[in-house]
Amino acid sequence: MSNDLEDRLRTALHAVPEPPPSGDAYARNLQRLQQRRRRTARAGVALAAAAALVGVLVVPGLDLGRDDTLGPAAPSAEDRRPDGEVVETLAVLGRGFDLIWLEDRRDYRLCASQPPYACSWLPLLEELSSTAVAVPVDDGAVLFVGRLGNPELVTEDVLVTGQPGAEPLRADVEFVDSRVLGYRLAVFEVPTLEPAYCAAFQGGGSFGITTVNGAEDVC
Amino acid sequence: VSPPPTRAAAPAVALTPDGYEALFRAHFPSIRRLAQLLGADDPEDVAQEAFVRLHRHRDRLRSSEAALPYLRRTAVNLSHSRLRHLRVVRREAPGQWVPHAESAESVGALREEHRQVVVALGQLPAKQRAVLVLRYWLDLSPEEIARTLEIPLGTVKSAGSRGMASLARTLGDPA
Repeated sequence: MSNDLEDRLRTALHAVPEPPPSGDAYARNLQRLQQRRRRTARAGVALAAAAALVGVLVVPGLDLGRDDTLGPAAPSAEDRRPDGEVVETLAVLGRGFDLIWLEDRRDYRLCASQPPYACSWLPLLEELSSTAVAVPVDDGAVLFVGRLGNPELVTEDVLVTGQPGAEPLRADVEFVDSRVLGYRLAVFEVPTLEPAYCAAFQGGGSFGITTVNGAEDVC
Repeated sequence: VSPPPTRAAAPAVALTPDGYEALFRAHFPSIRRLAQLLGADDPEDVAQEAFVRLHRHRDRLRSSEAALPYLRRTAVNLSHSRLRHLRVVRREAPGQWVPHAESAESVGALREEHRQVVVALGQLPAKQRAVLVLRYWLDLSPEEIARTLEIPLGTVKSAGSRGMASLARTLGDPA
């Protein structure tokens, strides 16, 4: 490989202007930590207490009256939370979690249903056409998102394994429809935190699920 | 031209509150910059979140020296997730996606020769891009990159090689 190209790349990377400093970043970090700590401490979600995980598989393509836009309609005033976040609940997943839309950020989150609404940070529905991701919530719960591609599936078709190729776990799968999104969500719990999970679908198709900072393409 | 980032290992401090603050003040700028170079549209948010996750897992670190690789790995993963999300947003709701002003300005402010390289880098697959940024911005060795990203050394080498080959093709540089 050309040394010139290496030098060119090195020089270009160092030439990118740094983001401008924006006040006291450490103070903002402490605020964020305190916010998470309060949410985790007060969540009291039964799922968290059981140290269980939640998996959600997205079944796109169903005609549930979805709008053509990715984001849902503007939320009503009563969707403003005490902390000021304006949200819309897209689906009540059960097990203590909801799928919500954050209006200000124009992003999705998985949040506990009860105050103080412990939320995942990562957006949720970005993975519809590729490998699933696990989105950790503060209390250890994980949201799984992936493309299923077959709206005819029934819950018994969804198999969850602790490791690629392992025997399926006993997972109590439920389907939840979100009319706002036009998606069908398959929600399941798995009992322990494993390095990786796979969800497979009888009749073809599978995708990997990773835990916190896990490697991709595990299945 | 920004000064070269420090290659020094994380301070040998336990993650006590003071240690966490020292780590934050020493490395937040470089983690934010790493997210920026990986294409995150809000590198501040990525860096903040990486530190929050480090704090949450501070009791599980093998050693204090593991903190910096953890931060870098988390910033890489968070940046990738953010980019995946942006791809879907652009595809499904292009009218709702507005480029982040900072990221657009930072590329726009570059001299043309640098801008071409940065734009070409942004077109690479995420893993190739991460390897090249860690190699040529942070000056990490392939072994250090493998440990940081927790991927095999062979994967680092192949991703780096493919990434450079793609850059050469895009930029018309003789490989």
